Amino acid sequence: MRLTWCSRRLLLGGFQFSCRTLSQAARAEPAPSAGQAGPWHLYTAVCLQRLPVVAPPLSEMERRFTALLRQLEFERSLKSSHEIRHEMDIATAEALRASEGDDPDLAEAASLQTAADFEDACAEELAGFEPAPTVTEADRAGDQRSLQRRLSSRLVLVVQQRLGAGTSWMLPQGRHQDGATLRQVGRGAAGDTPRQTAEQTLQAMVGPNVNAQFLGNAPWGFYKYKYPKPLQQESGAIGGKVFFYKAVLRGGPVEPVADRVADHRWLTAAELGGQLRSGYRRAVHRLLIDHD
Amino acid sequence: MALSLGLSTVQRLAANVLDMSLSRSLCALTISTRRDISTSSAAAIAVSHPLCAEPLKKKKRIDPAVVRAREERRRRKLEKAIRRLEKSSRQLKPLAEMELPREVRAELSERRRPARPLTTEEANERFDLMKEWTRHRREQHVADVAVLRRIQESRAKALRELRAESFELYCAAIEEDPDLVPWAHSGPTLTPPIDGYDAPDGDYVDTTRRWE
Repeated sequence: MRLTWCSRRLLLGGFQFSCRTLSQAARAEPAPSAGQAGPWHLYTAVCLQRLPVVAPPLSEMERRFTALLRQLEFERSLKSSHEIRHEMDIATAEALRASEGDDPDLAEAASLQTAADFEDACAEELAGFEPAPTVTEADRAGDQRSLQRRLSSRLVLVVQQRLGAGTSWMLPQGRHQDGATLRQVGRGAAGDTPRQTAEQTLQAMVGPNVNAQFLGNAPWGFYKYKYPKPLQQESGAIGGKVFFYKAVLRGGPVEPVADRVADHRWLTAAELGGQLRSGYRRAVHRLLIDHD
Repeated sequence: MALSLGLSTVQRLAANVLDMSLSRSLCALTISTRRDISTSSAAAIAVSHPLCAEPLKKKKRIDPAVVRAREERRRRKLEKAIRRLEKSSRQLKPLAEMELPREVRAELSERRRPARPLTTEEANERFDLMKEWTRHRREQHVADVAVLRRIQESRAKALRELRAESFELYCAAIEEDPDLVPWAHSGPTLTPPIDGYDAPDGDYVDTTRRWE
């Protein structure tokens, strides 16, 4: 039936369709679950990541196998022109020694730059180049506010956000104001989409000059928490539902805004555990790639 | 006959009706009726400039079988031409970078390395290492798949919860993002970039020929 077909397509996700016809066809917005009187506040949080700058060093297994592959490639290859030239240089030197310096042509040929000389000159030129170190100052100092730390891992931005009187370590989070009174299908005139809220949240927390590319319109993770009793009575909501959005840092300065954010850190997936509360950390961990 | 009768209207007569020797060019023959009184009726006849046209040939009826045969022949010829062109496109074109250069091919005998036979231990070692590598890569793959599945489930849950919360927001969330694709990222390098580095070789400009 048409209703089920529509719902199935929605659940598969990602197809472009007209919200209007579907919302008319499927007025199946589920009733609030029993036992919870009152609405939930919606929040969007941003998981801003700095992608790895440097490839991680080869593991033991990888090193051994790379050596084997190099060996095989060498054995199956033909000699290069450089090698041929090197062999000819050796032959010339031999012939020169045998003829004891009588032949002027051989002497001339031997006086040109040999392949070995050329190799040495190249090696010298390479030694003159100083690559940037993969283990930086920030690594040695353990400066968790620096983006130059742990260049072979992904880093996630975690902020000490001011909430009411106190602060809490979390991913940058902002309240989603839905245009409940002016409810229109899709993007209401008064309301933003959750992704737009996420973008505004990020700019409000870390400044407008940050260049972050958001990964899609759909949230990547979910976390639900209840407000403490006094706050429940004050705000009229049971708690908050947080939807996480992923973004990749493309550049631009990250300047935490002082009145929203007391402190910030760039942490790897493994280090998040030390900073975030357990339930929240689990929700964040589920949407991260944590190889490194 | 008409002339001797002295017609009152101006008429054009085809030349081949009057004289077969004039069939190459069609001239218009006019009979003027302005001078009704004349000593010779020949004065009223004037010949115009040749018009250089032939009357249309009478369309001969062709046998439909012959027509069909002709169409068939034309179609077969075209199909043959198409097949010949397609055969050429199916042939793999040589890649210059995959072939040995001319100079190398000439000296192939000098360039071959002396074959060094492997000992049994070496062969066994290589075999074992390759098996170990296969196992290692498979474990990596299984771990990758587990990570991706975990992330997908997290996203599915988030979308379910969003839908339960607000249908309109859910609709907005599952719309396609046109800025996401094409995605470009220059991946991790062996060493990090040096700030303000001035390359002594200059810049590299890609001059690969593209046929598109």
